Amino acid sequence: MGYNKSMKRKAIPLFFALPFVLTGCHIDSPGKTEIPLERLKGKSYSFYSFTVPICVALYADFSDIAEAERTRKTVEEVKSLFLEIENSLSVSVETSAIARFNRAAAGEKVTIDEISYTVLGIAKKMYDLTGGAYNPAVGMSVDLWGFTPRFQGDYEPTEPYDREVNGEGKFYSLPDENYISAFASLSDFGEVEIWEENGAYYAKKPKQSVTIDGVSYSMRLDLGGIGKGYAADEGAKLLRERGYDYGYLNVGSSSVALLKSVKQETDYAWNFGFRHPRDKGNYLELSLKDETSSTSGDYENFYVLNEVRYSHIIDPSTGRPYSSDLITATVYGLPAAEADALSTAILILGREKALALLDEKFPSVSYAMVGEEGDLLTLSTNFETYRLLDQNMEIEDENV
Amino acid sequence: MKTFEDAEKSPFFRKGDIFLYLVLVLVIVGLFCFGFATKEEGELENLLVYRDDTLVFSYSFAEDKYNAYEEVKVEETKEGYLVTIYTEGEYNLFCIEKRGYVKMLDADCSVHRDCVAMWAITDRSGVIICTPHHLKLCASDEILDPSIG
Repeated sequence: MGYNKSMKRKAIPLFFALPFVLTGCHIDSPGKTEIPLERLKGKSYSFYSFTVPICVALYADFSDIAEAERTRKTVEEVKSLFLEIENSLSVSVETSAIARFNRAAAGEKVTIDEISYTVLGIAKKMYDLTGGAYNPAVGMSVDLWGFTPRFQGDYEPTEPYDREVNGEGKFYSLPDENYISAFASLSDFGEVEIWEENGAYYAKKPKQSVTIDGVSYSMRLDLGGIGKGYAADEGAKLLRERGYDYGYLNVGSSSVALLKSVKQETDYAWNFGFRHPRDKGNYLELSLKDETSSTSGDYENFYVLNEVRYSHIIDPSTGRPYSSDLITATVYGLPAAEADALSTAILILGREKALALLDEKFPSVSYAMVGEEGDLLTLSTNFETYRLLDQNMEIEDENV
Repeated sequence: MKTFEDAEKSPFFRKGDIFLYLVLVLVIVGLFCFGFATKEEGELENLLVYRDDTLVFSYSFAEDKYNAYEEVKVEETKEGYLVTIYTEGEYNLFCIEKRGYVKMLDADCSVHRDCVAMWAITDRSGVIICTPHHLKLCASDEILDPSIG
């Protein structure tokens, strides 16, 4: 067989190119490097924002000093991002856009920032889609019932409607009925206007106000839940932009943004648990990755008075803590901010109306809701596969 | 009666001996595996108390030894310890029982004292949080599977 020198000359450059092909030399996106899974180690970072603990769990090659430092700086970026969002939305930050809106007089126009404008836009969308079941304009009622941040520290009655507490910090009585109904009338969120004009953002309060014992009150907004969801969404987006594919961001266990797990045997999915509303541990677990989820429940922030549980979730139609047949609802398949609003709406609506709403307006959303009747807990879910850990929990057919 | 010569000539291992040794090895391995299998997954080995990302107290159940890194009062009890952690003049009081149990007993953090209402820590997944004082009591600083709710 002859030897083709021409072919040999053509093959030589290919031979020299071979090492580059084998080592996979390519241009990576900034900050994104392909690190073998076995070199990735997990580390969790904690800080506080929106008055809840935040956990940033990330996998990186911590044996590489530069990578370890880059990860630390990324977490600092997440903290700064959360601080920026909190400074815009938190009612306990005096200079926040929402705090200034709440202090404004009825009918007043308030300058807000882009974050508040965006989140209020999400709130309005979910208010419309849920038929008003999700309604952030319950701030006066939330404060009346004792669930705003000022009750988390050294509480002293300062408002005319504040109640006394006993030596154990528990309320002696329920709020005055006059205030309950008056504040419920201040929750017409549909009347709030938001707009952008020449690069600036504005919100206008509805003109309605009520006067009780000579003191005038107007609408107050409470964007706590949806704010945490928004922060989870933005935080996860930042982590992905920095090239982190493995880990998760847990915002007060109220909203969780999952990246991937490092476990190849689970197809890189996390064993994601749903906290039991009445017992310790989880009641359900499912394999999930690259999703955001939000939950609402009557066990998160509540007190008991005369053997009745009063939750921080206010029914806007009554101005009272909600009292449907559901005690917890968890949703995924939407951004965490929208999922948080939807999970709140589900609780307020109750099982039957919630299932109708989900069927009509959110057909692609995945949900789990738990109802309570006496000691019996029932689960309604459209998860295709999951592990039910509480064998005493009954499963309700969502088609019934 | 066997003589010394007979003993010298006989094989070092007889079939019966080999069988016995094999059974012994299997029993030992079996017990070892049984011990691992029945060890409760997530059994409490440590307690770690963080304020933000700073470790302020730790306890090892195996060694029955604690380390206090900040202003902490520890009293020994019959079952274990009563630990008081101070944060800017306020406190959290929790108990450690050597059998593997940690519970927040009292705090002056807020009107609702949510940390006192939280479930006791009895396994590796347990967590107690006092938000106003930025305290987290946990059994492990590994990344565990996340939970919501």
